[in-house]
Amino acid sequence: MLSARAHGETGAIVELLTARHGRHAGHLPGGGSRKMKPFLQPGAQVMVSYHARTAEHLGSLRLEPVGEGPAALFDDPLALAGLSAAAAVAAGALPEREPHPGAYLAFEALVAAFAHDAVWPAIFVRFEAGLLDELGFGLDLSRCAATGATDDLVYVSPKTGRAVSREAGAPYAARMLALPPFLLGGQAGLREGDVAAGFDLTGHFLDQFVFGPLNRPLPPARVWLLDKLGQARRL
Amino acid sequence: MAAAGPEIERLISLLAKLPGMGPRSARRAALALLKRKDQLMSPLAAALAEAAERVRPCRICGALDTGEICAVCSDPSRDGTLLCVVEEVGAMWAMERGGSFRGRYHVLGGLLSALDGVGPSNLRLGSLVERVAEGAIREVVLALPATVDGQTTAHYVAERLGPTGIMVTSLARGVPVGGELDWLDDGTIAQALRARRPA
Repeated sequence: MLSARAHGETGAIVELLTARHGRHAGHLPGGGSRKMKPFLQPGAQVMVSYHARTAEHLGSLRLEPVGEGPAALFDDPLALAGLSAAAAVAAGALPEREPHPGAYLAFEALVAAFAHDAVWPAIFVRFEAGLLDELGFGLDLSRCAATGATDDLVYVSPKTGRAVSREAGAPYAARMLALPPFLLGGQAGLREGDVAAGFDLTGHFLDQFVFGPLNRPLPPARVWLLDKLGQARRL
Repeated sequence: MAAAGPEIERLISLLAKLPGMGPRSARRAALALLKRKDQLMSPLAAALAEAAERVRPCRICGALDTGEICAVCSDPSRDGTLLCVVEEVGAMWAMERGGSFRGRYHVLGGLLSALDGVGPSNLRLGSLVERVAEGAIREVVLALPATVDGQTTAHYVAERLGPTGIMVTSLARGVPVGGELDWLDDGTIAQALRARRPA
C-alpha cells in the first residue's frame, strides 16, 4: 500500500505497489468503513484482486490484509517517517501500471528493515539506488569512469552517475558527489556521514532524472525524513 | 426533467451534499420537510440559521460551540490538570460520549501528513504548547488515530512538549470491548499482545 484517500462517503482510491503490475490505483468500495480503514496505511501488505471493464478505466479492488503491517512501527517515530518517505518516493518515482518487480521487492525489503533500527537508513539509500536502476538511471559503481580502476572508488560524477576513483577525481573533488562504501558492497561498514552522503547521492539523481523532468520537487516526506534523521544524529 | 420547482430542486441538491445523503434520500428528506413544514421545516431552518450565526471554534481548545469559550473549557467541574489532544471535533465528541474522561481538550484540526503536505504550521500546535506552558496541566493524553499519520503526529506532539517536562501519555491499542480475536486484524492482535498486562 502506498497511499489511500477517501472517495465519496464510503469508498477510497487506493494506490498500490504490486509485484506484477507496478504502481496501480483502484477504487475500493467500502474503503471508508471501520473494517477497512486500518489496512489502508502506507506500508500495509495486502492481497488484491482487481476488476475493470476496460484497461483504461479505474477498476474496483478487493483487499485482503497480510500480516501486521505498519502498526508494528507505531512506537518508532523515525521508522514512521521512513515509511511515509519510502511510500512517497515510490509513488512519485514509479510510472503507473509499468511492471517493476525489482522496485516491489526492494520496497518490501525496506519495509521489513524498518524493524531493524541500526541499518534501515542505509537500506533506504540502497532502495533509492535500486529505484534509479529500475527506472533506467542506475548508478554505475563497478569501475572508475576515467581510469577503469576498480579500487579506491570514492566519488560519483554528478553528470553521469559513474564512479570515480580518488586519484582521478581529486582535481574535481569539490564538484563530485561522495560515494559511501556501503553502496559498493554489503561487507562495508557504516561510518559517520555515510548515510547522509548516500541520501545526497540518490537525492541528486532522483531530482535530476526522475522528479525534475516531471516538474516536481523531491517528496516533502523525504525532506522530513532527512530532518528527523539529522535531529536523531543518524545521518 | 425536474419534477419540482427550482426552490425544491435547490433544497434537494443542497440536502444531497450532506454526509449519508444521496439524491434519492435527499428527495425523500425534502418531501418529509415540506410535508411537515410547521413541525420540522421551520424549526430546522431556524436552528440552522442560529447555528450558522452563533457556532464558532472555541478560543481555547478549538472545539465548536456557541460561545467564545466552549462549555467544556468553561466548566469548573472539569479537571484542568488533564488535557486530551484530539484530531477533530468528532473525536472529542466520541470521547465525551463515553463520559470516562473528565479533563479538557485540545483540537489539533488535522494530522501531520508528509504524503499530503500537512505540516506543523497547518495544525493548532502553537496554542497547545502555550496552554501546556501556562503550567496548570499535569498530563497530556494523546487520543490520536492509530494510523501512520496519527502516530507520526503523536510522536511530534510528544517531542514538542518534551521540554516542558510534562507527562505525555497516549491511548492504548488492542482488543476492543466485545471484539472477538477471530475477527481482529493481525496488527491489532500483535499490538494487544505487546501491551498485555498481568491478569
